[in-house]
Amino acid sequence: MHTLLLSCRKAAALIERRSFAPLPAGLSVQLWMHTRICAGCKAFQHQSEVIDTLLEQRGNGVDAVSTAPLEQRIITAINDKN
Amino acid sequence: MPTTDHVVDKRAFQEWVHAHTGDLLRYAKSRVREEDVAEDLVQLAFIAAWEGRKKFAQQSSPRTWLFSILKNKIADHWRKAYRDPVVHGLEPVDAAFFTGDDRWAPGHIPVEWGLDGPDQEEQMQRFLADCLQQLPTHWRAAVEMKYLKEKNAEAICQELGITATNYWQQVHRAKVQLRECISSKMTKNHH
Repeated sequence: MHTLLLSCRKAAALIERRSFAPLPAGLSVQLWMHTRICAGCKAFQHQSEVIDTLLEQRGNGVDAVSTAPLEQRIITAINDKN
Repeated sequence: MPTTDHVVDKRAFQEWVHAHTGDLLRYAKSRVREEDVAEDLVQLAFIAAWEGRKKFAQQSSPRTWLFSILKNKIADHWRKAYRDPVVHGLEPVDAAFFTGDDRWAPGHIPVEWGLDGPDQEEQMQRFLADCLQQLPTHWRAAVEMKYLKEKNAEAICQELGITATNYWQQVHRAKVQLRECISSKMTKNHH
């Protein structure tokens, strides 16, 4: 499967590169064509977006951690500073 | 030092410590490898905030201000880790995931995850946290720098001393690895 000469390896890399800067028009079209035809790269693209969202949402949970000792350490450190 | 109305006094600052340490620590713990490093970074952020309290001047919420200081501390941490020559070993490449003619290798072809249900997000976050711990340090550093947001790619490249191409390729390799790792955990989980 040629999909306009874009390999899966290159397509996967372009999916990430696109999140840093817009792709040149030609590459953008090639990538779009490739992901329309190639189920693996289409899934990769979805999953890359899911991972982006997960990475951004880290640490937003509500799991309780005991921070009292740390709070005390911080307050002591600040008291030392005046 | 005499305190005035617009300067945060020690008592008000202590309230900030009690109010925000939990959220700041959770954030830091999810973004660095070791728990004690996360605690140190939170402490450093509070000390920097205290020392720079005149600059706060009520221009944003304490929470937003403290988070922006913490993000800078986390970025400093990863920048140092990135530059540490000890951590630069042989880096794995994405070659294992592709065939000689650059198609997905058998067994590595991405298959849709079929996510459903809100409880799955929590599980995915756990998988992600595990998989992040397995990344080579400088890939992890590149990923963390990207998601600290405040900084644009150009500034990050300058700080890490790498080219833009090198930077996005490292993030890319890291994400290929993360995707593979999360997929395998999901598969195991289904059986």
